[in-house]
Amino acid sequence: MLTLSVTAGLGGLLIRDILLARGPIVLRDASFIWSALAAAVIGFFFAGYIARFDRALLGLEALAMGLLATVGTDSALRAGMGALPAIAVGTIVATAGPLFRDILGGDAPQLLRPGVFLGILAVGASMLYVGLDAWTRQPLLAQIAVILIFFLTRMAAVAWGLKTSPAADVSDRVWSFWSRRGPQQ
Amino acid sequence: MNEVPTVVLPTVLEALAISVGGISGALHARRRQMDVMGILVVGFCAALGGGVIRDILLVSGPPVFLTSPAFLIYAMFGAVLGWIFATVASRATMLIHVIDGLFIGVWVLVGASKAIGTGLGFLAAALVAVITATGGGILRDLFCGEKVSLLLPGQWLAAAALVGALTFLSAFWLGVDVYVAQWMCIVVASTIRFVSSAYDVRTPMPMDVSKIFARSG
Repeated sequence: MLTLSVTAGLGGLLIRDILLARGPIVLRDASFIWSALAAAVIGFFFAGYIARFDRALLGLEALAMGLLATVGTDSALRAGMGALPAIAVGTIVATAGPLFRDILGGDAPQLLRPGVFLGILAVGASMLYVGLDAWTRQPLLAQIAVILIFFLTRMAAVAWGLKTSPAADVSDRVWSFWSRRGPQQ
Repeated sequence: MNEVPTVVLPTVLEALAISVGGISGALHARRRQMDVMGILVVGFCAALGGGVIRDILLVSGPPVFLTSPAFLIYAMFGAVLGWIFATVASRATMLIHVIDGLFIGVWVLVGASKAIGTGLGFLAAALVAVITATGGGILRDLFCGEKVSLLLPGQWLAAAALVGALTFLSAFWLGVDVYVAQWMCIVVASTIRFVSSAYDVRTPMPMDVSKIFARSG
């Protein structure tokens, strides 16, 4: 239980520092571990109470994921990486927590299965941050904007019940499109 | 023993190998009814996962997919191909299988050379080489929430990589020409892999020696 909460909370930042080959800040600065522990303890004792605020939790999760996506993208950019690696790092940092939580729990990660509209949003948020950062040259503004947009999109997806579907097989459509333009017709 | 071999693949081969990894990952994710994010993530893991684990283990700076973004493009290209042309690609599993088998030895070489380059010893280099070649499959299975198929009894995959790695490292340590040693590794690993799949040779199950002793005693 504790391990699960801590991994979900710190996994993203840990992965970021591993990918950028630095000493993990979550180990250097004890306050990270303390806050994750505190959250885990609260969850341990007040699970029933918290479950009643699932809407608020959903919002907090969305804010946290937006923040992680921008932080991850930003650290990769500051480490001198290009746009594409930065987007990859941002996505990985944002999604690592939920992914690891499910894998340690022995499930196929919720994030990868049809349903919750979240993973693709993290990719979008990282892309948006790279774009805004290059355009405005004001990382803080870009960060706030991306977090807001991420939050609003996520809430809209929840409100309208937007869900991802299993990846459709589009081969037939692509194939017929191709052959229609062929010499036969 | 003093010179360190670096493996440089022709770009075309590199792109082919990584994209094929992405395609097979995408097909795997599709069989598990995942969504688009699942296909991209599992395709990425299958294509580049081994290298990521290797670079983390060797502490040799950021993983190679971050330092040379082309790798990331190949992997994503493969994953998207496996998604869009799923029917075509699943008819070509035999081809994917063959290409995968041909490249086991290459990944073993890349891993072993990097490990020797960072000053690791014989056994450690062999371990890193096997992880490079098989880490993608491990991550793929983990991210699909399955048992890691590499560890279940079945055809020779990790074992083929291990024999390839030992072949290369012993030849290299004995002072055989590096290029000869590299080709030996590729040929040995692929041959074991293909013979194992063609004749369905399976990895041996653990035998309980204590029973034999009990019977004879």
